[in-house]
Amino acid sequence: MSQKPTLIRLGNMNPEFASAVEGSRRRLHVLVRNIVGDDALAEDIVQDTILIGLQAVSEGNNVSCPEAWLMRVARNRALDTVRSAGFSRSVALEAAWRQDSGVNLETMVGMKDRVRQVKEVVYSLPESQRTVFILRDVLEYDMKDIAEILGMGEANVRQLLSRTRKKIREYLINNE
Amino acid sequence: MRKSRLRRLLELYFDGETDLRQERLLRGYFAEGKEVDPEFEKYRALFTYCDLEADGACGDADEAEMQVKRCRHTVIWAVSASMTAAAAVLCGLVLLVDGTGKAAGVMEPGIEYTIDGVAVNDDALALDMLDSELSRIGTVSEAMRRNSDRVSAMLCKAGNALDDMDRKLKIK
Repeated sequence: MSQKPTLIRLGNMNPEFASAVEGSRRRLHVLVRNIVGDDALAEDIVQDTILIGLQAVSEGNNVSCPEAWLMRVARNRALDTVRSAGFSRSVALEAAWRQDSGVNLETMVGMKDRVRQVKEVVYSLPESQRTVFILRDVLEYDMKDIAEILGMGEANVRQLLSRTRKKIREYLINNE
Repeated sequence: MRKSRLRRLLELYFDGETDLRQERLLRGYFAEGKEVDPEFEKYRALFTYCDLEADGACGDADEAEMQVKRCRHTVIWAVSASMTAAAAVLCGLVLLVDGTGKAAGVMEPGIEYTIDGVAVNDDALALDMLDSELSRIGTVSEAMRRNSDRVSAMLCKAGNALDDMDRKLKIK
């Protein structure tokens, strides 16, 4: 049985959903990038997520809280990608130092070193802790939204967040 | 901000009890370039990281990317250099990754470290590779500089020749 392709009429896109897509695209990217560790892959996953959302809305599905819905779907797709066989997570390096830039390499390393160490500690965290930290401390979502995205209670979110921040603090204190 | 207030805010922050407004206050205090009390300096990197990540700066990479395949308690210096017609690029990375990779109810996938497809398992090897890449870049960079001088000299000659032709055409 052949299936006709689904036509998504962008001109008739639900305005609330359209606004959620526009407003949250960058945040989606930041969240997904922190799970998969790769900018280009993150962008692909974000695009897929938006398409899924558009399709769901065009089929008449009720997406009550579009931004939280998009974040949840994006996170799940990112996790599926990470768990897939043969996945290798790229850790994108920070800006390269051009040899002819005149900037002393040691100075650059000194300046960025501590921040990079924090980034690496964050990357080494279990995914749920990393995600809650990114959602709150980087993307500034409130607890209620984080709870909705992660599918857990607010009290659990706070506990998870506290545990994560304390882990990072412990690292910073031990490596002062 | 008074020390005692900052201390209290940080306590609440690490207990997960701050609201967004208080967290913005903390970030404002640690914002890049501001002077911070030595007692709290160790936390600056944390808030700077959050700011940079929010701006997307922490995720940006120039050209090189290192493939991470297996997670270990390893510190690796990795260098990946790629030459273009315009410039040489040097990237350095230090990674310290927890080897357990487990969370409650969630298995983290195994991760390996490779450089250009070659698995790197020990520090000495990684440092050797770094060393040889740095030498190679130095050599290539020197060659590019010499070539660039030659090109400049040739352009200068060409420019002079064109000026001569121009003058001759005008006389005619």
